[in-house]
Amino acid sequence: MITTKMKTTGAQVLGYHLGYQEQSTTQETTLASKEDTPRNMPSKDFLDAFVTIEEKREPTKTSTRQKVFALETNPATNQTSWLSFLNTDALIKFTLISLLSLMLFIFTAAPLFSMLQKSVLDSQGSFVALSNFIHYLQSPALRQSFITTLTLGFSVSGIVSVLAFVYAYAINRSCMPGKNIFANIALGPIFAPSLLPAISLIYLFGNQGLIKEVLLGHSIYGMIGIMIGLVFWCFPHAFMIINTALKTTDARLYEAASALKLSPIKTFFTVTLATAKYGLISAFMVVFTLAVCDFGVAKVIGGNVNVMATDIFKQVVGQQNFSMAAVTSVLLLLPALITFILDNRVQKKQQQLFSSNSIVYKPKPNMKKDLACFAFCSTIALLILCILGMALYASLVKFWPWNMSISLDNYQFSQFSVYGWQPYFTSLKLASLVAIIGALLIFVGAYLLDKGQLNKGLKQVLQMLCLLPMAVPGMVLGLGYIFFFNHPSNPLNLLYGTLAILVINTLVHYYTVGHLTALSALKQLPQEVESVAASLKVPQYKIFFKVTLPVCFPAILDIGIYLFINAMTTTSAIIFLYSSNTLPAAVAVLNISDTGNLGAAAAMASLIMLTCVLVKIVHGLLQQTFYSKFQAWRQPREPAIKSPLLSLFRKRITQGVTLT
Amino acid sequence: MSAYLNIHKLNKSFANFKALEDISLSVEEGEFICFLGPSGCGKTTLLRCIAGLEIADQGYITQASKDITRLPASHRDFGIVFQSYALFPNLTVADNLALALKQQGHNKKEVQKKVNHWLSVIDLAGSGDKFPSQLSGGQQQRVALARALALSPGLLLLDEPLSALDAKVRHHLRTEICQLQKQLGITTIMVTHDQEEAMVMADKIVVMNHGKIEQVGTPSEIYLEPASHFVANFVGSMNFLPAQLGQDNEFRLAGQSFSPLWPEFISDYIENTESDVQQSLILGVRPEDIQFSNIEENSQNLASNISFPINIQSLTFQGASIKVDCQLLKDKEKRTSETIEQEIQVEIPLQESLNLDLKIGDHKQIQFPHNKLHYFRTEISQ
Repeated sequence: MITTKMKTTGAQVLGYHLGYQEQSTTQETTLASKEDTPRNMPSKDFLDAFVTIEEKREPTKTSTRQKVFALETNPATNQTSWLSFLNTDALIKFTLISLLSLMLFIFTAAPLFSMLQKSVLDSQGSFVALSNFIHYLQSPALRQSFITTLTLGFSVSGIVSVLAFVYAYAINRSCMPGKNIFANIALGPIFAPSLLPAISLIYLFGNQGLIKEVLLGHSIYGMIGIMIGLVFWCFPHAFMIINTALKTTDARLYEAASALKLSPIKTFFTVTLATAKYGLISAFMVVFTLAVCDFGVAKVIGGNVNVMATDIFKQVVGQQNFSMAAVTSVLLLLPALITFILDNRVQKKQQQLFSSNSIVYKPKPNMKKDLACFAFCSTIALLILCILGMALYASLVKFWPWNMSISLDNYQFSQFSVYGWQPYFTSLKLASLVAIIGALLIFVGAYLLDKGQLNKGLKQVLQMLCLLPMAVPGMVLGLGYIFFFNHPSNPLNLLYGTLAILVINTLVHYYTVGHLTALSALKQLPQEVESVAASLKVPQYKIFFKVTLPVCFPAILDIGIYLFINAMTTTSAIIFLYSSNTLPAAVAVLNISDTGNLGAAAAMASLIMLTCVLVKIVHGLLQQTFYSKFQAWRQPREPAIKSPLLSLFRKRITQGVTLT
Repeated sequence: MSAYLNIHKLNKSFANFKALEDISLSVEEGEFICFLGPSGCGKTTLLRCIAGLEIADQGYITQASKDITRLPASHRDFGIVFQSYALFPNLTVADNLALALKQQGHNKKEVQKKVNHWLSVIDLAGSGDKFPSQLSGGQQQRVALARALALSPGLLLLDEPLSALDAKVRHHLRTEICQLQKQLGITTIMVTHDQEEAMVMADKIVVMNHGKIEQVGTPSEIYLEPASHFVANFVGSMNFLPAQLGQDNEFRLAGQSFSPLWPEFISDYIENTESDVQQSLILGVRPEDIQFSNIEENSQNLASNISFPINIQSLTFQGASIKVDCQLLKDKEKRTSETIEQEIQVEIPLQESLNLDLKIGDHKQIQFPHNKLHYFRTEISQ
């Protein structure tokens, strides 16, 4: 019976937050089993108690009556109560919703709009319809980078999807040892800026690379380098999505398959692949978007090969050709938007495959299979560690390749750049601000949208604006910000060049995932809590602080960490927005590597990675203490997620958004 | 003195869907009312309008002679219990109860006293420090009930409070809620789709369908005198038999003619029905009102009883009673075994069925008193 309720919440949560699935399932079973009927017998005490209550109730009853009576005879009292109602909940709600709407319009919709506008204007600012686009398509160089970008997109997402599928399959369907370690290693690249794998590749296969012979005379600079770099950097994202899809497959399907005497191969195709199908498609599209929009890898290791993201950079920074940059942005926005919409549809279908009462599959040992899985995972994990470790190692080498002794020379950043260590502290400040402001803002925003009883039209528009950033490549968003905020007649242009605009831009760029996490966290509470509060005459804001916020606190922490790590590692959007005193570390990596000081670039990139890992570890510890101290009410406790890192980034999986 | 709660011509629509249509109802102080109906009939919407969680489009609601139609929920005088319990999960049971009391400005001691009192009322005296998730479903629902009552509201609203519980817990809680309600004398409205629950608990049942009220009455009125085909079908089970009206104001049913017991209904029916419509109506009889008799022993009081020959199709064991599915046989006099397309369900006590030694395929006779027959218009079907 409880199951019914749990099932619905489970399903809702599932839509946004596949990671929470296990939790609701366990809760369901425990609650059901705890149903101890004897406690519910109407005991003698119970009946006796009525007598006492009846006596005691009389006075209170009359007092309520009197109160009601007073209200009806004295219209003034009635009016005051109306006013006080307006003064608290309604007023707070109105103010917050206005602020949220204003913020979403100014910082999300307006920049994108001015970017679109710019794409149909010439450099003088007069309307030229689509002639910019025609010009784009007629330029062979630009056309070439368009083709290169798409080729990269398809090949990288194809390779990553297959690799991630096998990796996730091994973790979920075999009995090999070290599954947790493998799952954690797979997520490693997320903690590094996309430049880091590129730098490592140069150290491994570049002109003075350790093992450049492996490439048989081919150069790492160009397509090969970009592709390998992107494969590494995108791997965790695909792995998380597919891992969730495989983990949630109902074990009963396998039992049914064996009851039907299907061969293992047939079972693989009809059960494993079929149920993971939507996860695979989703992973493909997410990686496609990442690969197409990435700027860092191509910039560092691309050599003469241009992709659209680097085109935008060159058009803006090199040629000041803003119209062309806008056109490229629009063209880059298109595939991202298309995959985003497709992914939405796919995710909806994937949700239908699960129900929260599905049984978790437990693999049986199979020597040959387990060994093969172990071999595969070890190879991939080693490669990841190798790439990540290479940058770290290279950063410690005194003077590659002439003096291989270990030192911290490369961390003396003032020797390589006038900014010294400043970018690192700027980034720390930026990331902390984004994390703290963002987590609170996103959560309050999601709460207002979910519980605010907004006008339906407004709600839909705001929801769209919350989801939109996910579909917008960072370079495109950054360009939109230039157009909008650098406009002389915009009173907000005083923001331009400040740290504030970097904070806002980064926040908007990563808004969607946080928003979805917050929404699914809010689903943990029954919808009726606010109604009950109203009947108990407890104001909504009080319930927000006493109940909603504490219940959702772990999710808010998750959002904060997600924002922190992304703010530390991102290069794309903010590359157009920083000024000389707000240069962030990830951009500094790019600038230093441009000047040829690869060792220092590796050092700065490693520094970012180590900081992120450290923050994540602190987060893990924080969460643990938090759970034991303040979340005692969670019964049974949320099962320890196999990989602590997975718990952090499962939001990335939550791309499945219903646009309604 | 008007009723405690008055609802007048209430209308509410969602987009193109009319959830409530001209609902008028009055509830006396201290009454236990059940809104009964299938899902989507508008019963929950009506409850939410009373609570102020939805605002009606038209019409008005008064509570204790005060117009509350447009008042926000926080300014109305009610306590509410939901199917999902909606307890505050991160607060202990005691804090769940104390929250509203503290908000009312009671001092610590008073709050503590009241909380302890309510904990003992719901038989959870030692569980104040527990969190909701450490309690069983039934216990959680009792906490929700105590929380709703702690502010001594004038009106208690229960939204399917028992639907999420196991059958056994549900039955116990039913009696507990009823007893508590009678002791406190609190006006109570409960929404349910469970007809048995409504009949056991309510003083008065409001049967709803498609956003309209079908019938208002005591449980026995609803059961014994269903006002419509829908009510008869929804509350308990009933056999529906199509019959034709003859010129002589007799009706024909499965090849036999009967003179109706309530000629007024028939004449009223004929008056209000267009003459070219086939003069047909639907007769209803509850399965438990039918008895078996052997074909040989022709009933002596045939005037007051209606009887048919039947063929037993299946027997379903239900514990205390047994359900017999029968098919009407064509002709009473000729005693052929030809059947007609009319099934009829009979429910008899288990012991009686053992005495009769019923078997599938048996030819028997069923009979029921004339006054157990219900008359419904054909146009009000389903």
